[in-house]
Amino acid sequence: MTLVLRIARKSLANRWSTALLTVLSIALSVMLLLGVEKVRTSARASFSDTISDTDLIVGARSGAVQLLLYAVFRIGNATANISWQTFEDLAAQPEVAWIVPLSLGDSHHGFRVLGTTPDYFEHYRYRHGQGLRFEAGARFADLFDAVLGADIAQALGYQLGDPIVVAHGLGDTSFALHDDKPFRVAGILAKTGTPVDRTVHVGLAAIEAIHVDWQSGARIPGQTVSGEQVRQMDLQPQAITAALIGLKSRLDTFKLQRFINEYPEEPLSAILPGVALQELWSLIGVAESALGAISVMVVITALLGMVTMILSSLNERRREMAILRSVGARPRTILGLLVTEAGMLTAAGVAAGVVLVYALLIVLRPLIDARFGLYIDLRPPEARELAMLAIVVVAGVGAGLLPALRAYRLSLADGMTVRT
Amino acid sequence: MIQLENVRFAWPGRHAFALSVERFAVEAGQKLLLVGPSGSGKSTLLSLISGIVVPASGRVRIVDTDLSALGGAARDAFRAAHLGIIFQMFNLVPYLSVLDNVLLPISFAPARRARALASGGTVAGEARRLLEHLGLDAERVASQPAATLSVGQQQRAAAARALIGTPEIVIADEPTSALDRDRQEDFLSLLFGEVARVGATLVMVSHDQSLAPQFDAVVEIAAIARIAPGAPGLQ
Repeated sequence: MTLVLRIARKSLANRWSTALLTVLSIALSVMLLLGVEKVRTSARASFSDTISDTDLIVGARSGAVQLLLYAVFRIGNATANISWQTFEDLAAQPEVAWIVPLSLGDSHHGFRVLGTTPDYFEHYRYRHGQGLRFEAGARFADLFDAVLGADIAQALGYQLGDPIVVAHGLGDTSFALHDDKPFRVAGILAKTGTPVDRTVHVGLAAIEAIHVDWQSGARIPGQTVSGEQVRQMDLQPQAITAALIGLKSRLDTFKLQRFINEYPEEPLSAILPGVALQELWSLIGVAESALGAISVMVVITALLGMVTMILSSLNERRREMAILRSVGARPRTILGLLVTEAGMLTAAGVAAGVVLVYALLIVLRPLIDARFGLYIDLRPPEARELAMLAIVVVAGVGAGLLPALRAYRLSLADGMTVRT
Repeated sequence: MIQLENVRFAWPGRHAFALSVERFAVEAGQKLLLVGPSGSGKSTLLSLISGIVVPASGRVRIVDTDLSALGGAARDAFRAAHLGIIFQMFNLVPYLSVLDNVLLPISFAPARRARALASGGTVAGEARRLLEHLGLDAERVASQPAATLSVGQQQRAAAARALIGTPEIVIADEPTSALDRDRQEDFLSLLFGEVARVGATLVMVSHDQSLAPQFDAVVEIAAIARIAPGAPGLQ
């Protein structure tokens, strides 16, 4: 056996340039396969890390995915609101440890504006219970204070104290501006890799304040209330869009969920964020399967290239096979030799591919994090990835059987009499 | 040492070719020259003797074993243990070193390994000794890739490979036809010397009648083997 290994090694070394190219193409395909897998698991992890430590999300009655999309991902709109009375009723339930209201509907240069309470910065958690951190400034203290997500501050170049004007509605080019009541940047949050980075946070009262002289999406003609006057008014909101709830005991989750879903005063939905995230991911999952399928195809292509390379070398190696047969090698030894060569090429390709993918990740990781908010964990290959790599090696050896069987038949037919 | 009786053989699929040998025998220690033009069935005869193929009928006894009674793997092991083979040319695996080439049979035949160890102390030492005896500078060529040697040097290395671990029979298939006349003489005398030293039986095939005086016996292939169109029953 050691002889076969040694002959295989020297034979490959003898054809090092084609062998190297074969190894390289396998390495690149493995890099793609592993890279896609890494990005996929990281994307999935960072996706399901978007919100944590929140037990229930409450909104007007709708599907779980829709509620999750507008309440957490700031995508789409609520069909209806929750009345303030209902919110207060929910807050008074004995199981509730904390409840944070969310009020959506306005925007700033295409970024959503979220009206909430200062508690939001306390209770919103992401990635295994990490809390929000301020890069600069602090929570809103004044009525017209705003706290910006990291991406907004960077994209629009805002600094503490800068004035910003909120637009009514969600369009990037909305002409209906709340320009009579500008906000002041009071705080800038650190990067989280979640939709928080693309959100302008203001007080719930401020949302009410900029809308006192509005009705049905337009200013009430002839009735303007200045920023100073509005401070004297009662800014208790009439309604909110959604609320995040934390419970005293997780055990009460289903009890309260049921209570909310059957709430008699108005139709509500309560969802478990984890379950809804799973549901949403299964929708996006089609794309990841496609990516996975493509990278598998690329690996197959690389292995076929290897088979081609070994097959095309067979003819010139018939003499060598005959020599080995003459000194007592069995046809099975010849088969083993070629399978070993295929195994060595594949194993070398897989090893090089793993090195490549980690080298690439080390270089690109900060860039991917900054550009796409995708945090890729640099852990050693996990069981699933190791299994994938093992399958590639096994497939390589299996593919090697093709030329090996041909050599086997040739060496049986040729015996020791090859005319070259 | 070598005994063929009533052997009939046809290559599978080659309808036009079948070989039959009534009787052919080589005594132990004999140096026998088989003479015949190409196409006379030399290669087939050598394949039968070395157990690469088995006859459809008849008996092939080598040393004291009936090859037809052995399975494929056993015949391969038998060939490794008892036969040394030298081809016309391209004898060496080009990317292995000369030393690795000489040592190849050792890996397949434990008995030859044991004898090489007994004779040379180490198998590499024995290989170097044989290379020196066959007129090669072992120090210089042993670690070189076989492909870098001249044809004459390659034939000598092939002879060293055939002789290592003292097999009972050495078969040489036109080993000198790629060499010029002077080198033929050199090669043969060195080969004969080593074969005699270990007491091996030598069967050499050639189309060159002029070599005859140096052998104990000369056999015309045409006299022992008949070539016939392949009969369907033998395929």
